[in-house]
Amino acid sequence: MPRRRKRSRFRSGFGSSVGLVFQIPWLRYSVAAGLLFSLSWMVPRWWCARDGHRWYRGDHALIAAHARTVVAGITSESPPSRSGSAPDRAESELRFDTYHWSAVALLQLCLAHPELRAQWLPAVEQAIELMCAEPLREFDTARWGEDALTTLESGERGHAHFLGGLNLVLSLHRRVDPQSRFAPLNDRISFALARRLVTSRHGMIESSRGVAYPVDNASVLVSLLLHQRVAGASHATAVGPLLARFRQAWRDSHSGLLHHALNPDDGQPIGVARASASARAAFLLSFAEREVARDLYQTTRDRCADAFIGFGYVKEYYVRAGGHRADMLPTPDDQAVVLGLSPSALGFGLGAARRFNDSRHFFQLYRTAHLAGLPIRRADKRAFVAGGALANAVLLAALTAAPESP
Amino acid sequence: MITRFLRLASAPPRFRFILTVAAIALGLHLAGLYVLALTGGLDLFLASGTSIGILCLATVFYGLRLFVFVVLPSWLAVSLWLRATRPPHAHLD
Repeated sequence: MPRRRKRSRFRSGFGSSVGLVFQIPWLRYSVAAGLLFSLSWMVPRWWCARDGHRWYRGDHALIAAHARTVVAGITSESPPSRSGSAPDRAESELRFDTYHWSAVALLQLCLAHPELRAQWLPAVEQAIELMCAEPLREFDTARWGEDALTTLESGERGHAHFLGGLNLVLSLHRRVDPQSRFAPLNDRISFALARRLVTSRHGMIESSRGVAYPVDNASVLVSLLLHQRVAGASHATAVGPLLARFRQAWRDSHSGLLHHALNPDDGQPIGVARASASARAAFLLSFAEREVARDLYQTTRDRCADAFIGFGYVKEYYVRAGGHRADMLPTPDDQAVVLGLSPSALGFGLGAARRFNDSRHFFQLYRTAHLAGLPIRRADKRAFVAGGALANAVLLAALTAAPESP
Repeated sequence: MITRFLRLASAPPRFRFILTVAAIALGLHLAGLYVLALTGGLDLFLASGTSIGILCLATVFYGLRLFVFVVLPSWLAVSLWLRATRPPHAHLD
């Protein structure tokens, strides 16, 4: 029995002479190839940037939905206790970083939207209490053999990661709430950090014994700059030289990227300069300083960032012509790098691009963040599935980084 | 038999087949996304010491996501185009 031919609806529009033209094989397949390439280029580019436009113009609904996820990450955690359920060192450091970035993001939102302070400030204060809780300080206490908060006045060195991160949040909190109940602690930490900076041999505070990270010193610097503004104190002898080091001494002479780690005994870099360190320092510094932060951001973008069909990425290392990747030995505290690309530099670069109004770079990086970060909406919340609570906190801070410095 | 297999393999896929593949890929992608969100499967997949199972899971899922975002829309559009401009004597599915 002869097979019955069905009439295609799609052919009806091409029944004319125009339709006959498109039935010429080479033209038909050329258009098909054109469609294939142009749609492969346009559709993912458009789809993955849709939310980017909303973030860029500060869509309240989107920000509130993501902030609810970050707030839930703080309020669902009870303060860690000394009992058997205390987190191990790696976990306590991860939780410390998560609370730190959650608080930074929410405080930034409180400054941008003062009418929503009552909604977000209690979660920030809970995050600060959790950061100060003794079991969560364990990772830093174990590193130094002494507690950072009880040795503020007597200690001579170290604790840059813990004290810098905590003090940045405290200074920002004081900016939002001038009557902050954490002001005395903010003062004590600020003066202790300034004293340690001034008395250190090479003008840096160590994060752990034998290693100083410029990014942790960036937190220290920003916290002191903000403390000067909110408390009227003067840390000029500490912040001036430290800022100068971010301009030149701690940058790679060839690429201009920031060194990842430094030896506090001789002030020399450990390993090579990295995009993740530069992007993170640029974003952190942008909270209180513009010139060096912008320079670091532009250097990272120009040296390490690129894009493929509109999807931006940041290479962790700058390989100059004739250079070799094998020269770049990873340091013990290696950042996650995927096929030579840095998710960390992408996240912080997104924040710096937003801060400095670089919309082209922002959208390029956002497309990749959307594709790889897996945003999802559940009930009244919105979150990125990949990376967990820390990634959500960092991305909220990055995506809501207003061009005006906090 | 070999000739028949080659003829079948080289024939352009039917539009219904493409739609079925698209629906399955989209469904798998959405289901995977919600399962990963509920279980936190990708929370720490970039941290050092992540198990090979999690890495394989992440690779498969991102492969599917790339297929859904990059390949699928253009594949559907090209199939529609080829179907719409098919010569009158061609086989219709």
